[in-house]
Order: sequence, then C-alpha cells, then structure tokens
Amino acid sequence: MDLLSQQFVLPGQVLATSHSETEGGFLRGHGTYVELVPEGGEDEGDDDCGNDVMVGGMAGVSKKKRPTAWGSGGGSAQGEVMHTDGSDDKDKDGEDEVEGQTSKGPQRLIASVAGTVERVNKLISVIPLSSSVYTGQVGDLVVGRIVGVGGSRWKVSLACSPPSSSGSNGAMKEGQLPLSGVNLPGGVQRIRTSEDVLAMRTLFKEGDLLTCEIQQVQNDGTLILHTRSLRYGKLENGVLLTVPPSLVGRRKNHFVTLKGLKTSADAVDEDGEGDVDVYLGLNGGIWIQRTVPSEWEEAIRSDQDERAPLAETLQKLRHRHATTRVSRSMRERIARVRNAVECLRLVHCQISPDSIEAVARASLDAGVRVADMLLPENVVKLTEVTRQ
Amino acid sequence: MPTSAEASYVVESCLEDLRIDGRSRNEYRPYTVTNGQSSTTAVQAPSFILSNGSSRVHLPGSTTEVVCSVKADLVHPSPSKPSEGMIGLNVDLSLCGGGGSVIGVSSSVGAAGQSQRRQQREEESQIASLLQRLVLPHALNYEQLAVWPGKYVWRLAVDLVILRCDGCVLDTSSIALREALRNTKLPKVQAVMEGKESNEGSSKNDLVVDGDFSKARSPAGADECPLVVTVSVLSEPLSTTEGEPKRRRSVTIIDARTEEEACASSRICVSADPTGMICGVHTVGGSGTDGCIGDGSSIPLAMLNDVIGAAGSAAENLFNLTKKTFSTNSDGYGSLLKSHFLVQ
Repeated sequence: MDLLSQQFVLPGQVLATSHSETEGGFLRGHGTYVELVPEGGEDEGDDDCGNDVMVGGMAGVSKKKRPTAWGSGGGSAQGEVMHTDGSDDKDKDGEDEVEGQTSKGPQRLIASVAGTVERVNKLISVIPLSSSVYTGQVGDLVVGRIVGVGGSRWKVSLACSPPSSSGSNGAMKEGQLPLSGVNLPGGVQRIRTSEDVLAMRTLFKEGDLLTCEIQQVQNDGTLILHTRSLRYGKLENGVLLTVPPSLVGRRKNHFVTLKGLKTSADAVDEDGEGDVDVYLGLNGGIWIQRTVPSEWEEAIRSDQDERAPLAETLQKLRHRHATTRVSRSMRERIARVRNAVECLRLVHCQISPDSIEAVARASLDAGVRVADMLLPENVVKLTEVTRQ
Repeated sequence: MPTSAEASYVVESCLEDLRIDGRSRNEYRPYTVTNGQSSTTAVQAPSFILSNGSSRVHLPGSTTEVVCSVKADLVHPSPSKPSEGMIGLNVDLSLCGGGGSVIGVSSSVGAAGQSQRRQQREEESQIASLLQRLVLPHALNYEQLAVWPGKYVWRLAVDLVILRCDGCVLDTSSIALREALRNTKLPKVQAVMEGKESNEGSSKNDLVVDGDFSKARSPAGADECPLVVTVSVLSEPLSTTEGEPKRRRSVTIIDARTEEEACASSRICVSADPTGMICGVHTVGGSGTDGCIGDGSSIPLAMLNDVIGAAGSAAENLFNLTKKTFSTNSDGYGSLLKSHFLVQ
C-alpha cells in the first residue's frame, strides 16, 4: 500500500470505490470528487476482489474493463489501487464527515486533477502537479492591482490584469496590504496615525499596479502583503502581461534586467544603456519596463544633500522614471520582450530570464518584426531554443 | 481599470505608431478563421453536425475565440413581409476567463457573481442588437430566402458563442457571422402543389427537400455580408500641470486589445461591405476610464476623417484577407445534410 500512496493519476481516474453496505471507505480530500456508481455498472461477480475492495480505473469504463483500462493508462500498475481493510471500519470518528455518504448506493472517488495520490488513513487526496490557481507562499514576489481602499488596508487583486486578458486566473485570491505594511514617503519610521489612514489614496489608489511581497499566509488562505522594501512599490510607465502562474518558477531574484537586446542600429538615446527590466511575479503578473539608467541616480545624488536617505533618492528616481517619456527604440525593445513572454506562454514554456532573452535574441537574429513574433509559425520557430 | 500611468504608456505607444505588442496603428492581429471550406490551410474542420453552416474565429493562443453556427428552418413568413426570409440572432457570451464588452471595461474584479451575470446578459443583448443593426440588414438578400412567397420562407437561426475575447468583440463576431453565412448550405426545396385551390380541407400542398448535397446552395447575397471595423480613438492624457489647456493629440487605431480599448476615449463601429459601402455606424461612447483620460464620448471633429479613412482601409484589408485565405470550394461534406429541416 505504501507504494500506491505516491501513484500518479489523471483527471477522471477512479481512485477508490466503496459500497453503501460497508461502513468505512474513504474521505474525500483535495483534488477529488465523489460520484455515485451508475446502476448496473457493478456487482458483476468480481470474485478476486472483496466486498470492500477499491478498484482503479477510469470513470465511465465498465467494471470488467477497468483493470485493463487502468493498465493502459498507468503503465505497470495493477488493477487494484487501494484497499481499506477491516481495521479502518472501526474508525468511526470521521464517519459523519464523509461527503455524500448520506445518499445510498455505492460511490467512487475520482481524481479531478493530475497529480500524485496522497493518503492519510481514509483521507485520499490528489496533490496537483502544477496548480492553475496561485496559492501564495511567504516571501513570494507578486504583481497586484489595488481594487479597494479602506479599513486602513488596501485590497489587492492578484489576478492583476483587467478580468479580460490572457490568463484564466479569475478564481485568484485577493490579498490585503495593511497600512503598516508600506513605507511612508521619505522612508520615515513611525506609528501610523489617523491622518495616514485618510491619506491612503495618495500612496496607492484603485487601479494602481504594484509589486509586493507576501508577508504572511493566514489559515483561510488570505494573503497579507507588504512593500517594506525599497524595491517594491507602484509600477509605472511600462507594460503588464499575465501568464499562468505555473509558468513562473521560484527563483533567487525576481527582478531581472535583460541586457544585450540592443541592436547595433540603435543609437545611444536618453534611455542610457537600453536594458529592459522584467519583474516576474509569482502570481503570473509580469511587468516590463526600462532599466533606470545609472546616470539618473548619479544626477539626483549630486543634487541632493549627502545625508539624504536612500529612500528619498529612489523616490525621486521613480518619479523621474514615471514622468520621462520612453523613447521609441526602447518601446520596441519592451514590446519585443513582451512578445517573447507571450510566445513562451503560447507554447507553455517556463518563463525565466534566460528563456525570455533566448526568444528575444532569436527574433532579433532572425530579423522578425516585433508584431510578427506572435504569428503561429514564428512562435514555434522562435521558442525552439527553449524546448531543447 | 488601468492606472493613468499604464494608460499613458498605452496611448503614447499608439501615438508613436508602435503599440504595446509591436503592431502599427492599422494592423490586425493574426486572426484565424476555420469555416470548413478553407482549402488553403490544413485545417479542414467540418461544420458542426446539425448546422447548415458554421465558422470559428480565433487568435492563436486563444485570447479570442468566437464560434458561429447557422441553422435553417422552413417557417411561415411574417404577415408584414410575406416574401422575405428571416434571420434570428442569438449571442451567447460565455466568457471563460476572458472579457468582451461593448459597453465598457467590465471591472468585475471582486464583483458579486449575481451582478456579474446580469452584466453579461446585458452585454449579450448589446452585442446582439448592434449586430442586428449594423450587419443583419445587409447580410443577405432576404427575398431570395423565400421558398414559396407567402407560404414558406427560410429562417436562419444564427447562434454566436463568444468564448473569450480580447478586444473588438464586434469585429470578430461579424467575421464569424459572415464566414458562417457564406458557408451555409441550404438544400434545394421545391414546392409541390397537388391539391386544388378550391378544395381547402385537403390541400396536399407539400415541400420536397432535395437531399442531394451538390444541389445545395449558399443563401444569396452572403458574399456581400458586411464586416464591422471598430476604430478606437485614443487621446493623450490631460497634463496635470496647470496652464492653458493644450490641444490634446488623438490617434485612431483598429483591432484594439483590451488594454487599448480601456484607454480609448471613444470607439466607432463602422460596418462596411465588400463594395466599399458603409452600412452602418455606431459610436460606443464614454468607455474611457473615468478620471484617467476619458471625458465622455466626444470625438474631435478633425478626427472624423481619420476614423473614416482608417475604417475604410481596414475593411478593405479585411475583405482581401478573407478572400485570399478562404477561397471556397464547395465540395465534400455531404454528411452536412444530415440536418433536419423543420417543415411547419
């Protein structure tokens, strides 16, 4: 049985069946659902299996065929998936919690996601390989959009796009950014007053995009966010795009700078080096903007008092970035990076700095126009590097 | 609900003629149309079983997906127009994780399920009524749909399902509608009059449906069915600095993405037919996000020429595109005529 506890299953696969006569059976865990076994589809004299045996197979396959169906689907696995022996029957505690157990008739437990089966006593659940819904972990960088201000906290939607664009992340959770979780302008450290509460909209207002970190995951899954680092904060003058969260892996650094997207034809412009910054939010929000040139920082520093805090400098730098127009060649690079990410999304490849750069590079080398990167034939061609 | 910072990037990109996905102002995205008859592509998807014609418009990567099906019934004509056929249009907006709004940006983030559903129904009826006004009057030659004037006419039930849509929902819907109508096959129906006119009680008037697929014809005038081109007008954001109001620069774009649509101060839907005639115009106003750049649905008068020009050239491109890619060859699919023709 230990062997079977780590079995890989596909959606629709029968994990277990139980008969109404027998007390016991299973408890429905995550990633599974309970279904009544259709009439006539059972009790056809399966002598080799006991009365309370659970037979694996695909739902909807008649019982006689189940073992073979299972064999073809799961490779070397045998017909039997799980077996609850009599000792489990005496375990009366969880009996009332069994969902759907009130209805009469044999039931079966079916996997609703692809993943590995995990079993704790009678509780059978399937741990999905990659979750389509983002569940946060402490320390994750996320890109969110403010959807509400009030109660000394901001409500942040982590489905950060308008509900329209690409990803299918409508079911995503909202996060909470408490007032105590942000840096006050100028970087002053003090207790938040009621005036601060009234002035919350000067920091972030509805519709604003921001990067933040997950500070805490509460028991009910609510995410508490914070922006108490100078790297986090409002996002301006750039492009957001959303991808399925499973495509963005956890990595050491989620603020990456892509260098070397400059073609020789590009003249040196006001954007300095012409690098592109990409913020990879683990919730699937990806923000692309220009890299703030180092000259700007120097210029601001030289203007300032030497003892001015770093926060103030960065604030000015941000303001300059937000108000300075992006040059055309930079826009083209940003669009190229954006389309490179889109290409990776289309072929469902992992989105990492390396893969983005590889696709963007490939498009430059092949001389593909930015808009043409999304033509189906080009998508396949350009992402070939990342699929090797 | 984009921020002003986001919106200004989008608008500035459009002003630079380099939109956020790298397109120029008058460039379409690579829409793919499957209508069961495209001989040029490898996709040879049959029409839906039980429908007389169908099509599917989608963008690779499925940010836009619209499916259309046409079913034909023989019905008694309406008393007001005894010698004309009918088209019934039904739009279903079943957005799975996509947006497709005509009214505006449905900011359904955090919206309760009930109101969201109501909003969807509202949008469905909006899309349907707009298509009814802009496309349907010119979609077909209605008189040719009469089988037996005064007695039996064809009624085409058009079902349009918008699975997801990334901007320009009317444009894609009209492409799907046009392509579905164009590959609709109506069987040859002959009226047989046996009974005498005087003998009212037992008139044996009957219709004979010819099962031969090769004799089935497309409804007349389907090739002249117009397409809708939505031209979005984006205006430069108001500068926050005080001073005398500068003239804001505006720009027109076609085939806007959702992000661009959200930034548009107004949108003009122009329906044009292949001969270059404008069949209808509708302005969708006030779609600009409040507080950002939208100030009602006003269009600068000087933009009107741009709008018409953009719509004209876009429509021309679109028709050329559809002609090239979907050159029809009307053989095969004999099984299509499995459909049941309801004779009432």
